[in-house]
Amino acid sequence: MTSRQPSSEQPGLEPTWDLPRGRHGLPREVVDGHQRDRLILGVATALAEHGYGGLSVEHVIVAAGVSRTTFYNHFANKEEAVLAAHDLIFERFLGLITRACNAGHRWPEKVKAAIGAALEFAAAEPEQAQLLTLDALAANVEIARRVLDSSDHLTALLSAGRRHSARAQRAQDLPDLTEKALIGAISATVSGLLMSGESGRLPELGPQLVELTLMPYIGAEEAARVAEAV
Amino acid sequence: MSQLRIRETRPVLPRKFIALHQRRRLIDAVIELTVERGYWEVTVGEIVKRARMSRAVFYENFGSKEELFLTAVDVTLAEVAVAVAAACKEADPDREERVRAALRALLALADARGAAVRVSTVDALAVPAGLARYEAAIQRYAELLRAQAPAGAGLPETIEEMLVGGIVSVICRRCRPGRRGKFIDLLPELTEFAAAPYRSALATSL
Repeated sequence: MTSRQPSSEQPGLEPTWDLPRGRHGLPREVVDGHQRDRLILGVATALAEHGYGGLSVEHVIVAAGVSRTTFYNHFANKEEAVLAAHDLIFERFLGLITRACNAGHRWPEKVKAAIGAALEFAAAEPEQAQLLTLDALAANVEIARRVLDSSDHLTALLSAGRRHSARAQRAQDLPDLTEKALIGAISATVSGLLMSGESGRLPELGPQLVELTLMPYIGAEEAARVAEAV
Repeated sequence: MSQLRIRETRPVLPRKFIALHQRRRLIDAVIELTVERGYWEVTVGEIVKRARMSRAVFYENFGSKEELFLTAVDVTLAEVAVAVAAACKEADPDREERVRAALRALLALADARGAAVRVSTVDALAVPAGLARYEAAIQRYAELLRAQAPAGAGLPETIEEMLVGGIVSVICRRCRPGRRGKFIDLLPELTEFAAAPYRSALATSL
């Protein structure tokens, strides 16, 4: 298992990072516990195979290689397990994105690095990634709410960058829903490929997604240049 | 002669009408319940209770909950398609005006039938056949947008799919329980989102 950093050490898109509020300040006990981690990975695997409707506790414990008792020590039912899996996977995902942002120099490069990291994650862990995208929205009402809340964190991360855009004045005038639509476009594109089992095609979409995302902030020409730069 | 025909057909018409009406009530019930609780939590028992009809009538009309659900998705997607096609036909030939007209039709329908639109965009993904319908719809609207694209913009190949995905996801978010505000208010911003990349790319290539 990878070790996680506490949220307070994840600076995000420096320096205008708004700390994620609400649900992702997970209690310590969520992140400790090897068994819980195994269960959560089991949830992702079993969910990808059976879908939420077909998912049973049995599927999860078989995928995780733990006993039924262990499952019920951690979760009351499958909904609770799926919510916990979503939260932990999103927290790790946010950590990856944050580290990628910190590696970039200028804002457009940070965005490019973040999109690259997101696609790498989705290609490497398609089952986990599915728990963060559109696909999970259909599971049930509470899970849908959680997935959309997570998406709000990514939206906040991107909009924090407006003041760094090369056309700062223009960026302030962009429609309010620009970031929601852009994050939605990325998420819909990724989940489309995941759901049709074409996760191998994810990396090739990187430059197109970077270009689309940067265009409103720095214009088509510069966006294409950053997207294509090696 | 004509009177005779009316007498003959009279008993048939109401039955057809009743069947249609029953199907409509079941469709409305599955949409309402799905938005309240999610597809998987809803049972046929709850659907017939909400529609105030018997289980036997349900099975006269639909083979299963999934069949009813997919019919609800199909009916809604067809309503969207008809509204968007009509709006595009009436709009100015100007590219941006057509995009605006198509979006206006979509948002107006979402205001009138929010739950149905939510079910056909979000909840449809619960079952594989619903996912296939969702993807086909995204593809259809991406093609429609691509047909309006100006030549020589030099934008990424899949930009239309991305833009449509972005628009649908904004609408999905608005369908969240407790969200207030009218869909139609999103028209200027969504039109700008869909049109800006082309404008920006053309300005560059000139």
